[in-house]
Amino acid sequence: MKVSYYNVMFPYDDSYILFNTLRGAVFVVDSETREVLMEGKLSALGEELTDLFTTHGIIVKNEVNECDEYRLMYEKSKYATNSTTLHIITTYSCNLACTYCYEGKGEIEQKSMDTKEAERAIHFVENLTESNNSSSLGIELFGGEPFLNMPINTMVARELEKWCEETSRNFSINAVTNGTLSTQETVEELAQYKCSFLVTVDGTKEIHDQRRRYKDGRGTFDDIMDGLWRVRDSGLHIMVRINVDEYNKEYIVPLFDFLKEGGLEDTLISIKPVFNSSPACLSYGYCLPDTEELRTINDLCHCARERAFKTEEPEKVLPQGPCSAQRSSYFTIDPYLRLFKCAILPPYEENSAGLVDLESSRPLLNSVHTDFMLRNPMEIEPCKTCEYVPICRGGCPVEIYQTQGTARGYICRKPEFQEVIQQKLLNIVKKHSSCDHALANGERR
Amino acid sequence: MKESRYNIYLLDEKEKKGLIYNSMQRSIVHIDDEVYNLMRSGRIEEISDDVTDVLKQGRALIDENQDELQILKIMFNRAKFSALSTGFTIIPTHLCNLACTYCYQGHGDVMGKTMSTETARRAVEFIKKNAVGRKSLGINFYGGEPLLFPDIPFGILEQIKQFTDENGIYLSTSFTSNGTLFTEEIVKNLKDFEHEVQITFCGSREVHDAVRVDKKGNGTYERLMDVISLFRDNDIRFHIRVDIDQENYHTISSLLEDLSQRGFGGLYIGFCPIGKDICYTEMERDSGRIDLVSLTRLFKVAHDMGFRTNPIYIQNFIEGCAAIKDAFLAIDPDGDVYKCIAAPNYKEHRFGTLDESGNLSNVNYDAFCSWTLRDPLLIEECVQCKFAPICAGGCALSAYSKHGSIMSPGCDEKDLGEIMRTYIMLKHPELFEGCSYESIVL
Repeated sequence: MKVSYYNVMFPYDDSYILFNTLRGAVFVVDSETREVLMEGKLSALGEELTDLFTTHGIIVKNEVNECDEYRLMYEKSKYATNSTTLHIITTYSCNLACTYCYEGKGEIEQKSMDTKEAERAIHFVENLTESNNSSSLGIELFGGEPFLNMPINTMVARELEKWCEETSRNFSINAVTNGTLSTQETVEELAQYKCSFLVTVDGTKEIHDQRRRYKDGRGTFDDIMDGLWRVRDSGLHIMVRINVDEYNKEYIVPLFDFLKEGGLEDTLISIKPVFNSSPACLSYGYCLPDTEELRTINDLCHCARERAFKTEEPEKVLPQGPCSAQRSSYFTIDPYLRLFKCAILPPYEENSAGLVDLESSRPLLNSVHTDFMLRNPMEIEPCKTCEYVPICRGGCPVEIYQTQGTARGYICRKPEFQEVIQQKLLNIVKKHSSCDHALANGERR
Repeated sequence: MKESRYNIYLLDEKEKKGLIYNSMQRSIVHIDDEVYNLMRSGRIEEISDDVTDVLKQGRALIDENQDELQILKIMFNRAKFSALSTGFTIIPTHLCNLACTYCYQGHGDVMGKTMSTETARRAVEFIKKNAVGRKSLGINFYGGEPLLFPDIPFGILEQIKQFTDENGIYLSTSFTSNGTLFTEEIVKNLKDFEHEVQITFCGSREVHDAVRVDKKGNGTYERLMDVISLFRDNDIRFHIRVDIDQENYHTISSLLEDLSQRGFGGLYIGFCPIGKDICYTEMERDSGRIDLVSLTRLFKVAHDMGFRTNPIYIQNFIEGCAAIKDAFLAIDPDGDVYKCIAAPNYKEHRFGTLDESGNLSNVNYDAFCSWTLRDPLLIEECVQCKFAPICAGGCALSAYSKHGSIMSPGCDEKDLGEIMRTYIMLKHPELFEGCSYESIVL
């Protein structure tokens, strides 16, 4: 037996938190055990601990090559197609002009999908799902502001739900909206498809209205809240997305209280940093701007959980496979029927991974697609030998692509990762402090 | 604009007819000798616009910045990790009723285990778990002789069929058998399943009866002919494999003639070289390996006699073999799991053993990762090879026995060229009307 390459340890009172980044197992160990693991003198472990550590991958058989194991897991996940997922941009137009918009406030691009284009997009989605043999299809209506094109949203939802039913597939739909257009009619329409809503609120009215504004400068907070209540009353799921930076961080906890008092306590909370060049990532895990913001986000999630909100960001620290940008089962499709590997890459032509072939309704893919699909952090030099790679994955492929011209690079934020993981593990361990060798979240993948 | 690295050129110099077969796109573009010469000498800008368009359509010419190696890598990985289908080869027993002189397994004397009821149950559980959510499931039975104890394979199939019926999974089965043990009853059972059977000949009656013999030394040729009649009468889907070496090579035409005379003319037939790459023991007969040129000629002969055949299956020459795929595994009588069905004699390739609940235990991650991560584009020879999209690095086990590592080529580029030429000519005879086989150069 040998010590896993992916163990990390942090001090905790007079003992240590032991965490395995590849398996997600957490233990509290004394300094003696720590030393045994550090020096690899496994014979000194005792039978009970040896068994426990073997079960949870803290120690592994000598012949196990954990680097290959992770590389393989990563590669497999890229091509797993049980579920096909897409962002469908039904329009690039937007009725807002948020101060930090990365899409140019709906002014760079305004095109909306027409019926013909929507038909083609639907056909493409069906073909893709079919060729992936996926048992479920999940779509997110995206924009711009998707509710500016409700006839097409309805058409897409209706046709795809019908197709999924006919072909015995699970169907789920989500709308990523600014929340200002959730009229009774729209909510009722989408309720037929059990559509969940992802709405951005950047803090209490005071700060939100400074940031998320209509084109004429009026604030949107009150309209959004009216909409959220309508959505809640229809029994649909709500996720509130909060984009955090140094200007609004003080206003977030009061927002939690406001939501709670307003009867929106079942809302799922998602807190993301604001980037200069791109919005917060849609699949959690990468976006770690700097230590300070990270700490802020972590603290805010903690506060939300304390108020009995569920958070999108998992409480546990678990090893990760590739995000959707690297999965063959994922695309963003825009009104021009161009394909992208992430919803934050449009509308820019040079970011496109290909387009829908009008004849066959199949994807015609280009070298951007290749670039994203071929990325594997275990083939990148410093990541290969980093014990944090199963958590960090070498950074966000989109951010890497945008800053380095290829997704096959890395952005190293190891100190930030150490910090946030340490913080999270402390919270987890404190919850379980009654156990001796506290096994907090030791379930294996 | 540049030339695809996966263009394979054929030209009949006399008739001035040629074609480009693109091994990545599987496309064919008809060309004349002038275009042939321009393409081969890198003067693509001199090709006329309309011809260029056709060449672009067939992807014989591609955009300057396109990296075909990278596209190929994604193609391979998609195929490798595809969740659409899964397949298992099961060895119900290592024992065999025959004692063929060239048997690479030592005719059941080297390994002699038979699968217990308990192991069969574990195998069924394992297969079910792996088949959940797939579109199709293939079960191949291999041996030894898989029909020596027919209750084992059919017992397994019955249990699995119930599961696949309930879960809407398409089940198919195949038997790799010496053919001698098929009875009315087995044939009847087989018809309950989507099936395919392979039986093996080894030359004319005289040679076959000297080589493929039972334990007492009796030949099996006439018995196989009876079995073929039985198959025919019962609409059993089957094909014939003929093992070839230097000694029996010249007797193959009399085998084919005999099959034809008996009315078996339209059968599917394939020819495989007898090799020593993966032998469990020293073979008793070592009559020399047949060269590929001679071997592919047999396909032509069979084709011309009205048999159905396809040379591309020599040496697993089609996207590697199933063993390169993530979801394809082999189970031996001990419940040991391998990637490759010919590997059970190499314990270092064992992935693990099936436990009571049908899970893989005692996992050898080293073997598991190295087989699953085998990537022809990490093998230098394959990176340079224009047949890579079709061959995918060839037989991994053969590579291992030749080079000591599965991360090496299991084939030979020169041989592949010969196979491709025969393949294209048999598949598209109309393209070479009026050309003689010998006048066509690669």
